[in-house]
Amino acid sequence: MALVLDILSWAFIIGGGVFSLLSGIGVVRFPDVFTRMHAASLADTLGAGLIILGLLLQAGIGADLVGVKLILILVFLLFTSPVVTHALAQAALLDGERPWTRDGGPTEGTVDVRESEGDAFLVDARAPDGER
Amino acid sequence: MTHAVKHALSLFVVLYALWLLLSGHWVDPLLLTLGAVSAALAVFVAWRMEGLDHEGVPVSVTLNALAYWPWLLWQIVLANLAVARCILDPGRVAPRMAWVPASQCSDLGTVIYANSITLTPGTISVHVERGRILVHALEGGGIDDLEAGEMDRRCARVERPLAGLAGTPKERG
Repeated sequence: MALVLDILSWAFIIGGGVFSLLSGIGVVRFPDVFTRMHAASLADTLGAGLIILGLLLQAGIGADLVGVKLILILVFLLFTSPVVTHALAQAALLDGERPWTRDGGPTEGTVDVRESEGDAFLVDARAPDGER
Repeated sequence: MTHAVKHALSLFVVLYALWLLLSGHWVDPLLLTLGAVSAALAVFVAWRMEGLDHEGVPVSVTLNALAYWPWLLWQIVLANLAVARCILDPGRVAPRMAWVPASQCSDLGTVIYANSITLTPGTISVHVERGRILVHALEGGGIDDLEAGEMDRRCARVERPLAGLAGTPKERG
């Protein structure tokens, strides 16, 4: 039984490691900041998730509640990482970064900071010297 | 019982349960009391910061959210595999950015939808407006899947207990 648990947990940990490695390779390989963020989110979700799952199988719930803390780490990670990713992507776009496309053309949808009047947040983002 | 009291009580219960789980102290009455005091203090601070509303303490949507998570986790696994394939074969990468409709009526529901989009690798919500979300996708298919509306409907189901009080957190107390 202990052997089965060991094999399972190592499979999970190695799987998480593989996804984290792929995530790193993607960050190097992809063409622009937005596509690189897609690659980075691999480590946030399945990478971290599988490693924690594997550690959970090693630790069990445990007398000192290690398992509970591991689950809490995963839950907090899943709540906070999309917020950070969203903030980073929005900052990149509002700062004038244009997403890379295969044909080099503009994207179907975008936010034009200069034309927005109603949204106070976007008006704020319009830096006085931000003419690009 | 007013809504504020309900939110304060449920926040206290959640915080105290979290304190118990993190500390592992079950027997010492002094430590248990101190834990209760610190949880009560946190609730007091939340009340002073006017965080005790349906957004700060989303008790009413918790059950629906728990029912939504397994489906979301499965989507995350599928999306991970799709992005991993793109990393191994960068020729597949064909980014698109487009507006996707968001049918949720409350701010909380929209945030749940936007976070779900970002949490699944391959799609990032870049900008959120009332009724629509600007999404950047690594492959064009990511936008098509979102436009099909499966995730949108499921997020609308999560926020259903909030229907009718959308955007009026102050009136609700």
